[in-house]
Amino acid sequence: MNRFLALAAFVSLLPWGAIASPLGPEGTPGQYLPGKFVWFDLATEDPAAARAFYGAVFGWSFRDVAEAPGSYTLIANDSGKVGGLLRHARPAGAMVGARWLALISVPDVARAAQLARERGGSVVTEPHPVAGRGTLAVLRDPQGAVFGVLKADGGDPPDTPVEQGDVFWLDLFTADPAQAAAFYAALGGYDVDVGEVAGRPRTLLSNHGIARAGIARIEPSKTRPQWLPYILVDDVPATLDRVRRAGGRVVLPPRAGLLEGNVAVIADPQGGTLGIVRWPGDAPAPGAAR
Amino acid sequence: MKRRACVMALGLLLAGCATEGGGGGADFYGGYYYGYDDWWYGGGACCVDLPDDIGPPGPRPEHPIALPPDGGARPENPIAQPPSQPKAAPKADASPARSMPAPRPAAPMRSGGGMRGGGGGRR
Repeated sequence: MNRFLALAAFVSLLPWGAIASPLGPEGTPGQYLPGKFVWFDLATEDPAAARAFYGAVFGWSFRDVAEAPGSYTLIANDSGKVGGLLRHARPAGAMVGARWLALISVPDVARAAQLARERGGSVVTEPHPVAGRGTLAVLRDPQGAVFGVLKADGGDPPDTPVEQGDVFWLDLFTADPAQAAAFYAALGGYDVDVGEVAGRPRTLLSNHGIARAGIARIEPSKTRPQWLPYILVDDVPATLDRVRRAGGRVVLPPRAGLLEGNVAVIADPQGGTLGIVRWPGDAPAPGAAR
Repeated sequence: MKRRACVMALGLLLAGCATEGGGGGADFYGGYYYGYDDWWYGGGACCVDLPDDIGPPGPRPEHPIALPPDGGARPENPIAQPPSQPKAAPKADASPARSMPAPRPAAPMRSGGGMRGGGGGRR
């Protein structure tokens, strides 16, 4: 009961007029971009270590929401919120002690959960409101990748250019891209585009003229089906140096075939994985909306 | 003081909704959220033997996704499909010959180095 009172006090003192989702995205009230990835949470067994690592690697800053039960921490870069961080003990036998979760904007969270069930997925956490954020659910797609869906109280952030230290891209690693594309298209209202790179099909999920994520085929016995967010950086080798110095690991080093050496995958000391990407070229990406 | 009490009461109401509104459980956000789910255990590690088609589609003209050889128009271009027409169900277009969408652009880097920028692109 104490934590309810603490949260009540916290929520009541928030500047609601200025920030409709103080624990969520910096949105525009009433405006939604269904299908956009609007929030990212790191669940980790060691929040202090995570803060030290990500602060050193990306320059992120952290603000504890001490009043909120669950010890939630907001993550920000110079220009605003990036996501959140929360403590979660590593379950016995778990391979890693940290996980990133990406949340997709949907117009109706209950409907999204129902769709997930109808199309072979499942519901990890039933739709529920979270004060200061909105309504969310955690779902699993038919092949096992976990993601969240959110309808933020304060609307979704507009599609403005992505800043350094912010999430720039996401990939879904899955054994069956076609099945996954159909699932997410139904859930997020995406258009599915299939091109070809290096003789392999390349599947993109897009809407509003903007590519939101890619789908890559993996060998499930080697790589778990999952979503991987990529952080925009200005220098991949320098970022990887910081990763190593801060106790992290380079899971996938840059290689020529991956955006000309401008993509890598890292793991934090607890095992939470993220991609990093440097956008090659000074000009904005063709076709991207503002 | 009375006003503060009212605001506190509203906050309490909101908190109640946050914890009783669904099948989530009795925590604010953390514990139940990631529950004892096999998500933590998984069937494999991350990112072993990844193919060369991960990451955002490249922005450079020579990149096959950014600019296909014929630079063809998208089938869902408004010219081909008037706005008044109801939008078709999401579909997979397997043609590699048309332009692919691009991600949101990266903001120009600030001068003076550093690894962070400012301005838009928020969430």
